[in-house]
Amino acid sequence: MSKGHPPSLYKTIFQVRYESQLRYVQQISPAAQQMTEYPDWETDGVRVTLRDRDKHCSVAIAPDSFSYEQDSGDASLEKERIQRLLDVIPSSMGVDSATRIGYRQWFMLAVDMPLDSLVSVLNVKLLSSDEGLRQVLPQTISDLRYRVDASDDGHKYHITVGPVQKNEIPRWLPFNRGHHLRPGTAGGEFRKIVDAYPDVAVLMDIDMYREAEVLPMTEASSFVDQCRGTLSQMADSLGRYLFAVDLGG
Amino acid sequence: MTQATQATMTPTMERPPFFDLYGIPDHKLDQLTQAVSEQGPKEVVAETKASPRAPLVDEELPMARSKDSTRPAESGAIAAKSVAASSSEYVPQEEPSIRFEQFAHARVAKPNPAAQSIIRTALAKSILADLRSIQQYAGSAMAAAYAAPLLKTMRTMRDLVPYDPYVKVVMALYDAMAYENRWADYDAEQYQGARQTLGQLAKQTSIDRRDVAKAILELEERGFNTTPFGMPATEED
Repeated sequence: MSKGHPPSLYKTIFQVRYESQLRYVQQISPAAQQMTEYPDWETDGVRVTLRDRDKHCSVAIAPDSFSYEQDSGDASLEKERIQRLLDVIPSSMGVDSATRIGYRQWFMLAVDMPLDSLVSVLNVKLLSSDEGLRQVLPQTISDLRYRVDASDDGHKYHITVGPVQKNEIPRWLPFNRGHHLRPGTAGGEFRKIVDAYPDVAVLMDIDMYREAEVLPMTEASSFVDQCRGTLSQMADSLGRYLFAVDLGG
Repeated sequence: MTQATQATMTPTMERPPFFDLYGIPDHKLDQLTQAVSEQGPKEVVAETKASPRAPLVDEELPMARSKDSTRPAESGAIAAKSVAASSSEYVPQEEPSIRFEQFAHARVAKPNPAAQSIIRTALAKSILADLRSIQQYAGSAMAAAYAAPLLKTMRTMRDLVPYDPYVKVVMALYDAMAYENRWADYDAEQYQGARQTLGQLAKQTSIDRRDVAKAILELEERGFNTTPFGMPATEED
């Protein structure tokens, strides 16, 4: 049974991609300087990365994209920082349209059962139980992953759901140690973070995005709001669906 | 997700708990188990077929039953329906083999109670939905379209959670329906009753032997013959 609803948010990445132009190279640095809430910075001469290691988040600005990455479930911080990013960067750099706007979140739903039992549940709930398939496959399904690409109303999705146990979570939930932890203490900090992960959980990795030749930047903010609601609801509904013990009607 | 899990199969020929529904005494069960170990299931099937008390197993289980082969019916009304429905060309192309597949499933890992409950709910929903559909079309050729997926889901449940006591009741209904295509004989009221029995049982948080026995008795009282075949005879008989 799941230990708690709704699933917990662990990570968010927001990214805007646009057609690369030479003039953007010179505008990246002035734009980055306006983002004063990030104490640390790094540049290779073309790209700039801004970091807030205390809050486990960072911004990356490049000639062809800018993005926000946060390794925590702090929804209000994520909302505030992404809005700030959208307020500052496009206008400072003169980016008025994008080719892709994406919003991706990782959720985990801790469960109170061993991994093999969770695999059995997800096998019934997410994959085909058809006799024909069972006759083809080996008798015991010991692990699985559910992965679909989907779309609706101009929005596209990459959805991955699967059972995970603590020691494999870092592989499926990529924590940005380089940007979000202090170099001197990163090892110890990261061990504490991993220790706090659930022993067994359902991991949901949902990427929602729009892609077109011209996506007006003015729509980015409302799109992010929409993504935020959709992904949260989807993760919650998936959790309810997977662990339903109510026959209904 | 790709992490290899610990081995979960038990290599022994453990008896699934629903086996005792068929009333096989332990010493006979041991003989059967031993025979399967030594000869494989096919030989046991053949041996069982030779017994006058055991007209079972795959080959005799249905495709379509002819008009002449109706069994003695519990009531005239059911018998009449049986003739009509069993001559249908819509008979599901299922080959439900009832007994000897169970040995293979004895090696399925037992999920923990919470997981078992979730899986039970998911499959019970599907079974109850199919029962509702077959209830609507009971006695008509269309019933076959719902009998096939229903029987299939029942077998799926047996395969995935053979240790769940709920499966005993499901398989009792399966036997009553699958043997000689008797699904075609039952009427809407009987299917509604089966749905009630299975639905109420699925809602229980825990199911024990008494619940199982009570539910199977209910099915019997509703006219489902849950033990439609005899048992293999032995020298002791």
